[in-house]
Amino acid sequence: MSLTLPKNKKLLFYFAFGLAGFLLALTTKAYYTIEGCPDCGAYTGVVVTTGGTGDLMLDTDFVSSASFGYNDGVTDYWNIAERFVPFIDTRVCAVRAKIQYDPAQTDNGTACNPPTTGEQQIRLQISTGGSFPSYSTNYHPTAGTANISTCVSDIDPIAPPSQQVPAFVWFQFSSCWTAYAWQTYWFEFSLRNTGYQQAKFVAYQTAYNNSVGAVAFGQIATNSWLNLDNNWSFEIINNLSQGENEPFLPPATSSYGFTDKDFGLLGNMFRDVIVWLFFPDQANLERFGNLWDTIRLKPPIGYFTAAKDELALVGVGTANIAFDTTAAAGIITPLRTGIIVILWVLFAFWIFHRLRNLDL
Amino acid sequence: MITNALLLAGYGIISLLLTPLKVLADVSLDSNIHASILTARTYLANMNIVLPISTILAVFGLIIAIETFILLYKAVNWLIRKIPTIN
Repeated sequence: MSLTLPKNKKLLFYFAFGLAGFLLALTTKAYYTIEGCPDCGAYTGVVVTTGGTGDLMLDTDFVSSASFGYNDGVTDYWNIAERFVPFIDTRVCAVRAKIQYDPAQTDNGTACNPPTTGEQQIRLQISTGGSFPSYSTNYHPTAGTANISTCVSDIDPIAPPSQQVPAFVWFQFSSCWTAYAWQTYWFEFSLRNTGYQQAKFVAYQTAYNNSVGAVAFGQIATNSWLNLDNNWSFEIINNLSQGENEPFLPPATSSYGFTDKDFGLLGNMFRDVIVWLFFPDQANLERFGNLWDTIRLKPPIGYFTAAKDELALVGVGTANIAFDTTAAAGIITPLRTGIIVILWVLFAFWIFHRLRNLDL
Repeated sequence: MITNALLLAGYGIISLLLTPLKVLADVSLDSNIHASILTARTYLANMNIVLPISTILAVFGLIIAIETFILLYKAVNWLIRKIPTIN
């Protein structure tokens, strides 16, 4: 049996069919459960995986070489950062860091085992924009600036237990946030050994220099227990099942000024449907502003923007001369006031003259 | 959702069109331009001790605004007169 409809109605039918399929696709979700993280909830999937193996990110890895091997004589720590530039707006709810030791590596030619002593601390910091992460230079992770919570009970980034860093560590943000398309985000992990000076941890790259009391900055040594080619990765994970600020969910009632109290038999069903269909959420509007911020200094627009920014500085600044005597001020100040009065009087005469001879 | 989808589509198109710009380096003006503007600010500040710069600018701004309004009024009237059925 074939569908026999007039041409215009057939087109309408195909359009409605396509729209229904599109809406169905939007509501379809395949959930992803984090292994070993019972509190993390159901995730829709891993957005990106990055690191030594299978780098799916837009940009290249970034290793914060300025922090490599730094040793303040008390702690060893080691930072590694990833640049994350999403193609589309991306909800970020959790990050999984995979850190592994490499027992096959040697310590100055002598075979060594992974460290078994000391207290290890792993932390995550995030910065936006720029060509390098904010925390890469001599960043010393401190307990007071944690901006994440962890769902792994035996690894607390604030009060680390005395044990090794496991192969995998999950970080779950206290609330999901949106990484905007084409914006730069730096995910920087800091691994720290707080237990022993010279403790052999992931930051063990270079020999301690007794003469200067520190280990100089430098590239990671080949005898490191970390194998940067294979044994580390980050996964940035979204969690649309939390349902907050999801692009295609209704906006919060507070954002459009209605109270959330339902009434009558149908409650606010029709209102909610209309809002869901037509009310744009804030993130959708903000991305246009972010787009402008991205290109406002790019040529050729940037030439005009930069010139405009410079011209905005034109104005009456601070004088670098002053009256030598109060007598001079006694002359100049009334003179200035007199000029102001004269200017406004002349303006009034001009208005009077202009209106009297107005020929429309 | 419809508005969001339309905004998203519009954003995608605009973003795609602007992609070539995004890879370019930011424009930075010569530092002498910035220095010259700061110098001009200082000169204006020194002149402002005697000459009321803000008053001069206000008076000239009002004159220009009034003249512009009159010109626009005449231009609109001229356009209206061009419509055949209106005299």
